[in-house]
Amino acid sequence: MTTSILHRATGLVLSVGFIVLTGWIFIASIGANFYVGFLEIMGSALGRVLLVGWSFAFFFHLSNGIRHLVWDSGRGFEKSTADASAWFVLVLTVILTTLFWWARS
Amino acid sequence: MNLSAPMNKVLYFFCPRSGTSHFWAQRLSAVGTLITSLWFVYAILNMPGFQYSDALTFIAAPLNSIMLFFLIIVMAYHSSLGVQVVIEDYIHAHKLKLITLILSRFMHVFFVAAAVYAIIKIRLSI
Repeated sequence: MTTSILHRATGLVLSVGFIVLTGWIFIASIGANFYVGFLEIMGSALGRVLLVGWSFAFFFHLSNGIRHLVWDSGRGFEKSTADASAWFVLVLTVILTTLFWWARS
Repeated sequence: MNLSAPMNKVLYFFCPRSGTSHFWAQRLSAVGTLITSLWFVYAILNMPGFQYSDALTFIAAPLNSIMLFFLIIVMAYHSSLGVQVVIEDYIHAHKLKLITLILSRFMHVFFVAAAVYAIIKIRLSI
């Protein structure tokens, strides 16, 4: 289903997010001036949208990744089970993303 | 009709018998990423803020810097394997595929090196 291509897409999105994660650490190591600039970019409207997007991609890739690991063990391949777990993953992603930002606010 | 690919084509485009190790590397790095990134979510939620001093204090804390090492390395490995599959699946021109694969590997190593250097620098300067 759609979750398959979403797994790839979110994986690529998270690869870019990985660059931002290492960027955050690296910029913190070179000085306060650069760090303030970084905070400004990530705190802007676009930056916030990107952060929410990355958290959504993260929680999707995480839950759907666990689904893939269960599949690798040979379980959950029946059509009805696979459909149900796809919806479960999508709902779980929305809940986890919401909970994350709610806890962080 | 012959459905098997000619051997010269197989040997030219693929590294034979490397599939299983890639499969296992992908799954094991997935589990590693799962564990370390769950820690990261927990850690992020418990950070008092994201100002400059908050970031330095967080990164320099002994347990955090070790966990960040694990996170960065295992995540980069997992990402590198994933991007590799996407490149292999969607880029068909041989030369371009090779260049993209090499570039992807180099970039992953580069960002890991930058982060590891930064963590050590912050850890030693505080």
